[in-house]
Amino acid sequence: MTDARDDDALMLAFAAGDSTSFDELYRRYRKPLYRYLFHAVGNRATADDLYQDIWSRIINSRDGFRRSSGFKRWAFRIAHNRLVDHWRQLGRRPSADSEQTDRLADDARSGPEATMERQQQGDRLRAALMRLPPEQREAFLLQQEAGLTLAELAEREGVGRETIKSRLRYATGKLKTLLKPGAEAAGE
Amino acid sequence: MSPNEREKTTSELADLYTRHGEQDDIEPEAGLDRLIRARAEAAVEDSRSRRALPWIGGLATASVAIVAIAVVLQQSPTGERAESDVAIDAFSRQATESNDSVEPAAQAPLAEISRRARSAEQDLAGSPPVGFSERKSLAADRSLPELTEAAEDRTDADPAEALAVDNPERWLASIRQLVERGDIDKARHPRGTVPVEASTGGHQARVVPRAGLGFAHRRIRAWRRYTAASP
Repeated sequence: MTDARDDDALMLAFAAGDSTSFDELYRRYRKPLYRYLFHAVGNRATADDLYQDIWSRIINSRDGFRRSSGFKRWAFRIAHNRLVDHWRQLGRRPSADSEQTDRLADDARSGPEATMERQQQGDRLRAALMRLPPEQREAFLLQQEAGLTLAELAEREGVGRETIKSRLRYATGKLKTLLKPGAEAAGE
Repeated sequence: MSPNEREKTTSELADLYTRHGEQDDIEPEAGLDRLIRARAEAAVEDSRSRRALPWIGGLATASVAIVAIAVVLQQSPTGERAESDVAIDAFSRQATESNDSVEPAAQAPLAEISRRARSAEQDLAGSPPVGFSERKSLAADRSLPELTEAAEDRTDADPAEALAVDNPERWLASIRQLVERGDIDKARHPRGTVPVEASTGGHQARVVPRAGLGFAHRRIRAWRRYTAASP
């Protein structure tokens, strides 16, 4: 049974002590947040760690949540900040190396015959995403998963609106090229 | 790439990404879901218990404050009233000592003394027998009138009681003689039973100051004047 309340109302109810509100909120955001992390870091183990940590931060920061923040933006900001911390710990931003792409391929699970083609398409998308430069990939993922606008992305990244626009344009062009039939065979 | 083409490509990619997101199996494992939900539940429980504590603390603080106020109100004030308390205590001791040596039946003189002291006080003050303020004091001083009025009624009529009033020492001596002779009926109070309150001796004297300190204090002064004037 779904809850008709919006995300912000659910988060405020959770902050007031209603744990069922959290269940509904979690149901709505478990996939988008996980996908964002998974596509950003490229492997399940790291994504699992970050995912757990991000939800812990959301739970612990519940009293600081304000309706004006908007839960979706607020949660993805926490996720983004955690991701930046993760990269800082590594000492570098992840590169689109073949190792990560291989790991993604390992993570991909085979499905029934009927969905095989879709799954292959998904694998190709993930592989293509991992080959994007990190800034472009993150801008693309935040736009797709968190639904952030150009202005919000620019504010979050601390760059100009035109820079974000440019990153997204390059990301889109590169993904289109990588997802063309025969692109992998051509070694692009 | 023209702006239109770019927009189309972006839209196609967004569709692809969304479709891919809806259909793929990229999602957290069930164990991870359970862990996070349990963490949220624990956090809610923890904050509930923390919220209950200030309420308990507030209640405890309020209780302590009420007890403290009650104790302060029960304490006698300092200064003038404290002095009157000292005088009353002295009077109480005196009354107790004198009452301890007599039989319960001998309580009647005390009632008469009380009545005379009151009338002497009124004479000195030049006020009507019982004014508004006096009545107010008497109203607050219920235990004393209750004790004295019954005795007053009795002393008005009986010669034996008149003797007790005029010369208590003699009256007490006669009671002792009657008791020694075994003539208990005659030794009893002229009107029979002595009120329980009046027969408690020292307790009666201690009740007086509590009833109304101002009134009692005036009574003491009147009593002193009376005893000084009496042969």
